[in-house]
Amino acid sequence: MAATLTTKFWDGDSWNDPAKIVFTSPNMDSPNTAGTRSHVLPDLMDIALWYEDTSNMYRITNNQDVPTSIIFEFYGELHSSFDFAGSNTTMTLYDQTGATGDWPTAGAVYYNNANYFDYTAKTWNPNNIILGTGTDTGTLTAVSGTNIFLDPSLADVNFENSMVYEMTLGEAYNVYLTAWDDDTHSSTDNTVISGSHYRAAGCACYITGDTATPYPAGASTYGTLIDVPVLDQVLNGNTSNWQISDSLRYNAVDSGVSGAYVFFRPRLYNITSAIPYGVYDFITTLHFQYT
Amino acid sequence: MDYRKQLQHVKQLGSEDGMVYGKTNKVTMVNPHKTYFIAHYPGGKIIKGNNLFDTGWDPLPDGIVKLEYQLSTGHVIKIPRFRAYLHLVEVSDSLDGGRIFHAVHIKGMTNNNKVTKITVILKQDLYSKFKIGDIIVSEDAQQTLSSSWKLAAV
Repeated sequence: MAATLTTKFWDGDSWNDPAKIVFTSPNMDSPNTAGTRSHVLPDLMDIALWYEDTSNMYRITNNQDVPTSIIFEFYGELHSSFDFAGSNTTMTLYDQTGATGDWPTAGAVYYNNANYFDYTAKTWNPNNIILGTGTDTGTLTAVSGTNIFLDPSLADVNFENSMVYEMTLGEAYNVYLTAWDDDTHSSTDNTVISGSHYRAAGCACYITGDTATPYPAGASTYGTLIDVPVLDQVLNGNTSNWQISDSLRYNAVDSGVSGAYVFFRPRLYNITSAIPYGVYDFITTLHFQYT
Repeated sequence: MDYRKQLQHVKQLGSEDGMVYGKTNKVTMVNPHKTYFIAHYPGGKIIKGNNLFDTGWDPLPDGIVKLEYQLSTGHVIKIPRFRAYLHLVEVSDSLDGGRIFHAVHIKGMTNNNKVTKITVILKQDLYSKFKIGDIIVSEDAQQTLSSSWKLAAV
C-alpha cells in the first residue's frame, strides 16, 4: 500500500502547506510575502527561521539558538519531562515530585551518578536520571511506546514551531529525514550541508484522541513516543540523518489514535564569519519505503 | 494523491525516463507510471502491478510462481525464487512535495528464514556508481514486520 504523508506548519492561527524553509533576517514583518529576503552577513546579527508557503512566509524563531528541550509531560498529575543536556545523545529525565507515572517497561531506565529510577517500584530520585542503554552518554533506544503528554507552552520544540508530517494512509518503512543540495536529492556540494551546519530537533509520535483536530496545536495533546527524539541532529545527505523509525503506520481513527506524526524544527549551527558570503539553497527531504 | 505535484521537478518525462536537473547534478530516473512488477501464478495466470505510486502489491494473492520487475527503460529483472516476497519502493519527498524514486527492494525469504534483499536501482546521476537497472544483492539483517509478505507457490 502506498504511504501518504502530508506536511503542514502552524502559523499561529491556522495550518499551511509548506513550500520552503527559509533562514534570513528577523527584521521583517511576519507574515510577509513569500520570497521576501533580507540577507544577513554571517556572525554579524541573528538569523531567523521562517516557514514559507506559496503566498506568505512566517517568522518562527528570531535566532538559531539550540533548543534545550522537547518536553513531554506524562499522564496524570505528574510534571516530569525529558530534557536534553546539550547533545543529541543524552536525554535526562527531570522530576521534582517523586510520584509514580506511566513509564517504559523494564530495562528502559538506567542510573546516572547517584541518581536512579527504580522501574519496579516506579519511584525515582529527582534530577539527572538518564534513559538509555548503558552509560550516561548512551544512545537511547528504549523509550519507544512511552505515553506522553505534549504541551506546546512548555517545549522549545513542539507542534507549533515545527514542520509536521502526518501519516494519513498506509505504512512507511525505514523512515529518515535529511537534506540535499537540490531537487535531485543526490548531492551535498553545499557549504551549509557538507559543513554540518544544518540540523534539526524533532520527535515522532502517535497522537491519541481528538479526531476533530487534524493536527495538534494550540492545546496539550496525549501521544505515544515512537522512537527516541533528537535535539541537534546533523542533516547531511546519506552521511548523517535522523533515523526516525523502522516503521510508521496510519492507525484508524476509531482506534483512538490518529497518526503517526513526525515533527521537527530546523536550525543553522555555528554560522560564523568563516562561512563564505553567499546564498545557500538546499532542501529537506523525508525518505521512506512503502509496499 | 496528486502525482503531478510529485513529478513537478521532472523534465522530459517520456516513454522511458525523466530528468531532474540540479545545480551540479543531473538525475535520470525511470518513468514511475511505466514501472511495475509482474507476478506469475500456476496455470499461466499473470498479474501486473500498476505503477510506482500505487503499486498494487497489497491485494496480490499468495502462490507466486515467478516474480519479475519491468522498468520503463525496458529492463526486465527476474527475481530468484524464494519462499516469500516483500516489495518496497524507496522514495524521498521534499517539503514542497517533489519526489525522487531511488530503488525497488524485493525482499525474499529463504527456507531457513533468512532474508535476501534484491535492490533494483531506479535512478542514476553524475555522482553515483549505480545506473538504472543495476541490481544489488545483499543479506538483510533488518527484520521487516509487514502484513504485505506474499508466499510463493508450494
